[in-house]
Amino acid sequence: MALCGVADTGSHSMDKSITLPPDEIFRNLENAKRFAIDIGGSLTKLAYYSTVQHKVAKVRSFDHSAKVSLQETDGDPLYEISVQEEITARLHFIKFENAYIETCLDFIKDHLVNTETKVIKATGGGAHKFKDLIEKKLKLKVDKEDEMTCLIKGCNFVLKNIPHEAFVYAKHADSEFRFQHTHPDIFPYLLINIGSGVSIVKVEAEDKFERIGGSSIGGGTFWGLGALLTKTKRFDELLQLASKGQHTNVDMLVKDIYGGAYGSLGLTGDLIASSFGKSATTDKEFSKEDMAKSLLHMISNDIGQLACLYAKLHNLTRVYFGGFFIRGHPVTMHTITYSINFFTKGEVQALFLRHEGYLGAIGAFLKGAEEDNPNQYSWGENYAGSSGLMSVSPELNPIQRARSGTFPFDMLEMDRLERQLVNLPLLQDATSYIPDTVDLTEDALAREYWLYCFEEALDGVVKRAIASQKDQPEAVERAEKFRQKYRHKLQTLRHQPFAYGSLTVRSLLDTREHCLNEFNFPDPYSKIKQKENDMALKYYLKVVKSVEELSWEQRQFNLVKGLLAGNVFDWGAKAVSDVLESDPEFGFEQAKQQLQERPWLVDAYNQWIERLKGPPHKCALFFVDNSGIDIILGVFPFIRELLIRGTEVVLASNSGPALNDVTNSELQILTERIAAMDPVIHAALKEDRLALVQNGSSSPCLDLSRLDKVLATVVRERGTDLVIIEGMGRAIHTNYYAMLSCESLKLAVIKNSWLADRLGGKIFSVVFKYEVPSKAQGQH
Amino acid sequence: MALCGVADTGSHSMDKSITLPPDEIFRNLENAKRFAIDIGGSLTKLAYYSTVQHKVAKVRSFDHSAKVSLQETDGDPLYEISVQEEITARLHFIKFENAYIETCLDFIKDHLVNTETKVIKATGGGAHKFKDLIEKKLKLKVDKEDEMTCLIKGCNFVLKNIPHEAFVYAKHADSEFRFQHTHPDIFPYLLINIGSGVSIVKVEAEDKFERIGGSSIGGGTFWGLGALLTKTKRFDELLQLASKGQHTNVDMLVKDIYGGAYGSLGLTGDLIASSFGKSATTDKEFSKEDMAKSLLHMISNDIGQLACLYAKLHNLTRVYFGGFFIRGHPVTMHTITYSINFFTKGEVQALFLRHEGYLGAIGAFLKGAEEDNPNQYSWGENYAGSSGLMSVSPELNPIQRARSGTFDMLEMDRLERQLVNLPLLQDATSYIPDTVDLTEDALAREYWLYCFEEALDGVVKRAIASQKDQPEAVERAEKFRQKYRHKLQTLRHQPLLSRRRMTWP
Repeated sequence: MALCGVADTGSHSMDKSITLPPDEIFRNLENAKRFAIDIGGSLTKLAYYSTVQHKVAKVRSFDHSAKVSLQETDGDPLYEISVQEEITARLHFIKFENAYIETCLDFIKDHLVNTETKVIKATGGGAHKFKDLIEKKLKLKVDKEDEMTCLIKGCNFVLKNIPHEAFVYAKHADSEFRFQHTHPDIFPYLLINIGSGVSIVKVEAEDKFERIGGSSIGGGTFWGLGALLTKTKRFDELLQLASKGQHTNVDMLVKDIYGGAYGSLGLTGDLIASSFGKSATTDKEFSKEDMAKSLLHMISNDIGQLACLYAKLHNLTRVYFGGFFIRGHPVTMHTITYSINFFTKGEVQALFLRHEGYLGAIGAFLKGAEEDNPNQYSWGENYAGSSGLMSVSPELNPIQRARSGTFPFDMLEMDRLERQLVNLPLLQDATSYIPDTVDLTEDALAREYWLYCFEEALDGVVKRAIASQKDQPEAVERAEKFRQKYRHKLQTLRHQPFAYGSLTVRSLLDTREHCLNEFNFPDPYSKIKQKENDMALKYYLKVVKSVEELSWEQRQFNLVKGLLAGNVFDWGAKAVSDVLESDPEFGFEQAKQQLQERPWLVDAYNQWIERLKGPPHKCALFFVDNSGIDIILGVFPFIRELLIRGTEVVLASNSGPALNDVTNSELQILTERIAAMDPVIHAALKEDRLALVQNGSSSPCLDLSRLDKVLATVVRERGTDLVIIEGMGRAIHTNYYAMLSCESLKLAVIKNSWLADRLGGKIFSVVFKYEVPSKAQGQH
Repeated sequence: MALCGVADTGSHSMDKSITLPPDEIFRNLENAKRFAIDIGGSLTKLAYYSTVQHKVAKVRSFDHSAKVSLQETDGDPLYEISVQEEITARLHFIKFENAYIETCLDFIKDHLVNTETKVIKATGGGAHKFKDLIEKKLKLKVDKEDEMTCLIKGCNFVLKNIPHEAFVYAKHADSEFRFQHTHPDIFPYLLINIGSGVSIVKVEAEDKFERIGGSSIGGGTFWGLGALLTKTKRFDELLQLASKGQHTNVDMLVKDIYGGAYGSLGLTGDLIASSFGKSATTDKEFSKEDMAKSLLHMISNDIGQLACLYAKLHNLTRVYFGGFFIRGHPVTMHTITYSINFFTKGEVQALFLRHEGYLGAIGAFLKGAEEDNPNQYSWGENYAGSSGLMSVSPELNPIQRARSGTFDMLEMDRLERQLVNLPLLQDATSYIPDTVDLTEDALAREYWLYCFEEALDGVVKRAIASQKDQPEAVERAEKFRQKYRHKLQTLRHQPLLSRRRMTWP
C-alpha cells in the first residue's frame, strides 16, 4: 500500500539567494528544446535537451598525389589540422529547492530562444500545484506524465548510461560508497521507492514493469510519527535526532525478555524483539533522540524485510533503493543496508543510485523526447558540467555542506555519444569485469598521491593548452578558467572522493579532458602529435630495415623492445613530459636504453616467444596508445611482423582526442602514408588483412565494457584470438586484471616512480604480461 | 526480528475478589497430578491432569442359555442395567489474572493431595518472576520449558482435538465467527504469534517447526507507540480508542496525493499511501482516537503483508494468528483479516483459535506429561466444564464482560477410543457433519433454543425418574437444570460470540 515519493525534504531555512550566476546553472538555454520538470514536495528537478557547439580539431591529409617520391615530402607536414565547430547533443538536469522555482522560471523565460517548444512534460506530486505558474511564466503547456513510468524510465537510463551509477553503502568501511560497475544488461531488477509510502517495483525490460508490492510504512511515517513524538517538524532534523539516539532505551530487545539470546530460535540478545516495546510498560520519559532512532530502525527494518521477501519471491538479486527517505542520507542508507544484510544473510546487497533524485525528471524528459530516440544512443556523464554526489546529512559533513556554497543547485549533464557502446565480446565474464585497477575511493594512499600528482601537473597542462592556441589571445583567459574549474574538481574529490562514482586515475584523466573541452581546448596536443608523427615517419623504413636484418629470435625481441621504447614517449606521464620538454632530442634509441633490462618487472616474454614458434594467430586486436614514435616506430613494425606471419590485425584507436594518444582520424592518415612506403602494409590494407577501427572513447584509459559497436562486430567477424593492450593508461591503470577469453598481451613502461614503487619496481620498469585463458577458447 | 508474546493485557482496575467459588474453578484438585503454568505479562494459565470418578450405566445380558426356545424368554428383560463408578482422565486449564496468583496458589496448596507430584512445568515471560513464589507455596520445583515449543505443542493439540477450534472472523457478517471444521491432518501450517513482537513459525509436523521470520512491529509497538501518542497506558483502552477513530484524518491516502485512484498501478483512492503521512506536514492536533486507529491499521497491515509473503514463499495456505495482540479482540481480528484479504486477494484466510490463550500452558503441560503419551489419545472438550469464547473488548460487549467473572476454564476429557475419519468419506477435508449451522441461521437458532428450553422440564423429570432409588437425585437434577439453562441463556445472548459452532442436535 503505497507510492512513489511525493515529498522532498530540502531544508527550508536556507538562504534563498541564488549563489551561482544562473547562466552557470541553466547552461545552453539558447538552444534548449524539450523541457521536462519533476516537482516534489520541496525540490524541483528540471530537464532539457540542448545542443552544444564546441570546437574540435580535425586532421586532413594534404594532397600528396602530385609528389612522386617520398623524398619530396620532406619538411612538409603530413597532414593539416583545422579547428572546426561541431554540434553535439547534451542533456541538462538541474535540481533546486521549490523556493527558487519562480526565479528560475523567470530566468529560463528570458533566455529561451527556441520557439518550437510548446510543451513541458511534468511529473511529481507538486506538478499540479505549480502548473499555472509554469504555464504563465514559460508559455508552455504543462503535459502531465505518469509518475511511476517516469521513475522507471529514468532509472533504466542512468543504469544503462552511467557505469558507476549504483553503489553499496558501508558506513564503517574505508570508503563509505562502494560503486558497482553496472553493465549494459541491467534487467531484471527490483526498485524500492521509499517516498511517503513504499512502492516495490519489479522491472523486467525497458517498458515492462510491475508494482508488485508496497507498504504504507515509509518516509511519511517516519516524518509523521517522528513529528508527533518529538515535536520536530523537519525531516532533516528528525534524521539528525535519530543519528544521536540509542534505540535500546525505547525498544524491547530479546535480552530484555529472556535475559540473553533465545538460542533455540537463533535470536541474539541484541535483536529488537518489539519496537517501542519499552514505552508500553515504562512510565519514564523518553528522549527525542532515542525515539527518533527507534522509529528509524523500525521503518528501515520493516522495509528491508519486505524488500527481501519480494526479491526472494521473484528471484531477483539486484535491489535498488530510492525515494526521499533514502536520497543521499547516510543514516537511512546505513539502516536499510543493515536490514538487508540481516534478512538475506548477505545474499542480497542494498544498492543506491547517485542520481536517484533525477529519475523522475529524466523519465519525464525521455517520454517527451521519444521521437528523438534517446535510447538508441549511448550517453556519457559530463564531469565538467555535473555536480558530484554530496552528503546532504548535516551531521555527517557539516563543513562540506557549508563550503559548498553552490548547494541549493545540483546539476547533471549527459553528452550524447556519437557511437553506441557495447562490451568487448572477448571479455571472459562481462558481468564481473571492472576496468579500473585501483579504486582510489578505497585506497586512501593512492588517492592522495594521484590527486597531488594531477594538481602538480596542472600548470603544465595549462601551459600546453595556451601553446596549442597561440594565435588566439583570449586562450590565456580560457586556460585560466579551465585551471580553476579543474582545480575545484580536484578539491571536491579530495573531500568527497565518491562524488562521481569510483574515483580512479581514469576518472581523473577523463574529468580533465571534459574540463578542457568545456573551455574549448579540444585537442591541446594536436600540433605536438603532428610534429612527432612527421618526425617519426622519417625513421620508419630505417627501423623496419634494421629489424629485418636480424635473426628470427633477435627480431622478435627487438620488435617487443621497440614497442616498449615507443611507449616511453608519453606526454601523459609527468616524468616523460619533463624530459621531453627539456630535451626534445630524446630519441628512440635513447628510450631503448632507458628501458629496464630483463628480467622485467612482469616478464612473460619467454612464454610469448614459445607461442610465436607455434601457429600464427587468426586475428590480433591492438589497442594503440600514443602518436609519433610509439605508433609509427613501435606498433607498426610489430604488427608488420604479425601480418607477415599470417595474422590479421585490427588497430583500435580513440574516437576523440586525449592527451597525445593517436586518434582514429590521425591513424588513418598515418597508415595510408606508411602503406605508401611499405609494400607489406600496403598489401595488408588492400587485402583487408589490416583494419582500422575506432574504440568509441576519448579517454587515455580503456573501458572494455563501453566500446564502439562496430569494433565489437569486427572482433566477432574476424575471429579475433589475440588482444594486445598497450600503455599505462590502458594496460596498467585499467585492464591490468581484466580476464579475456582469448590470449592477451598487456604491455607498458611504468613512467611514474610512485606507481613503479608500488608495483615493486623502479621508474621505466617494464610490464610484459602474456596471458592464455585456462580453456584457450581463442586458439586454433 | 521478534518474538512470542511476553505480555498479556488484562485490565488492572478490576475487582480483585474471586467471583466464583474456587472449588468450581480448580476442579478435581484432589486427584491432580502433573502441573504446568504459563505466566504472561498479566494473565496466568494453569494446567493439570486429573482423574474424575463418575457414574456410568452399564448393561449386562442375563444368562438365557438354559432356555431353549425364543418363546420361553417372553416377559423377562433381555439385559440388566447397573450403575457403576468409572474413572476417566481429564485435563483442566484455568486462566486468571496475575493479580490472583497468590490466592490461587494458596487454594491449590490446601487441596493438593497427590504427593507424587514434584515438579511444575512453567513457561511464558512471567515464569521467571513468579518462580520463587510458586516454589515456596506449592513446594514444587519450577521446571522451565521453551516458550515457542510449548506454544506449538499446544497449538497442535487443540487443532487435533477440538474440531471447531479455528475460526474466520467477519465483522459485518451475520455471524461474526465462522468456525472451520478442522481435520486430523493439520500440517503444515503457519502460526503468526503477535505478542510484543511478531514470530512467524512454520509447523510441519508434531515436533518439527521453524521460526522462519518475525518482525519487531507487534503488539508491544501498538501499545508502546500508542501510549506515547495518546498518553493512554492500557492496552484495552488503546484498542477502545482505536475502534472509535478515523484513520483517514492521520493517514495519507492515495487520493490525498493523486486526487483519486492511481489507476495504472491498480491503487484505489482510499488505499493508505503513507501511515501517519498527514502528521508530517499538517500542524493541526490529531485526536487520540484517530492516531490509535491509524497505528492499529499500520501494524495490522504490516503483519498481514509479512504473513502473506511468508505463506507464499513456503507454499502454505493455513495461517493461524495468535498472541495477546489478537486474543479475542474483535478490533485486531478484523484489521488482520482485512489485511490478509487485501494482500492475498482472498486466497488465504486469516484463522484464529478459540483457545489461543491456553496454547503455552497446554504445551508446557504436554511436555511434562510425555510419559502418559497424551498424543496417543483423542480428547474431547467438556462443554459443561469449559467457559465459552467471549469478547474481551469492553466496547463490543460490556455486559457480557461484567458477567463473565475473571476466570476462564477449559476441560478436556480423554476419550477411551482413538477417533479417526470414516475411510469412506469422499472428501475428508471438506466433510462437515452438521446439516445446519445455527450461528449462521438466526431463525433456526431461535427455534431450537426455545425448543431445548421447553424440553428441559421433561428431561429433568426423566432424569429423576431414572434414579428413583436415590433420593438426592432430585437435587442433582435441579443443578443440571440450572447449569443447562444457564448455558442456553449464554448461547442466546452471545449467538455471535458463541463458544463453538452451534448446531442442530
